[in-house]
Amino acid sequence: MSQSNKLLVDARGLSCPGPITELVKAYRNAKNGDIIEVWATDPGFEPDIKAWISRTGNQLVELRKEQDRIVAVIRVTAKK
Amino acid sequence: MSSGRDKISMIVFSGTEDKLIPVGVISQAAAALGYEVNIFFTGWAMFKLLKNPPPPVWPKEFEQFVPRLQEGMARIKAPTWLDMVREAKKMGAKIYVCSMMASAAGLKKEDFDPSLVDDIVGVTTFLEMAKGGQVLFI
Repeated sequence: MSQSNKLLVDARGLSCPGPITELVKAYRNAKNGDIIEVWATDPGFEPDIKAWISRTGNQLVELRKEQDRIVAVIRVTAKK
Repeated sequence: MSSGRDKISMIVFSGTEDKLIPVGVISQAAAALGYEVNIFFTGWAMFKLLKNPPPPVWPKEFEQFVPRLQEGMARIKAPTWLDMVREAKKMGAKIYVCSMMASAAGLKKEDFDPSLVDDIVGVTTFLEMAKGGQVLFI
């Protein structure tokens, strides 16, 4: 078992499709078991991250709104 | 040419900024999601890919909204449509120019920005590339 990593993608200030693009860049280098936490401020990010999860089949561990950002915590499970 | 991947192809005809912005947004998002992306530039849009492209043009009927939109784009620090297309290209998107329109305008491959244009092709090639996927006419 290799060690799982936790990655942070700070996409605050980026407008659509910036946050998803940044997430995908991090995802490419990730492996199953890794956790990716994304911070975004784009108002479309919440439905977009759900669409991405439904498309890719990874796991959305947490999606919460904070005062100044939307935080999505993703567990990478769908890498082949 | 079928790769089994989701595929989106765009025929980009209008050269106005209001239409080019969605070309950038859709191509970047689709490429990020792993879609095969083919963009076929023809009509007025083709000139935007020249080494010396013409200045931005907005449609006359929406002129009163343009400053508001431009200020908004600056405020949210949105990348330009061309930056988004470049990002899409980094992720595998391909850009083609219509050979018929290029000939009609007296343009050769060397007139176009080689960092943007992958090839000048006929519509037959494009349709074959687009086959089985979604096609947008913009």
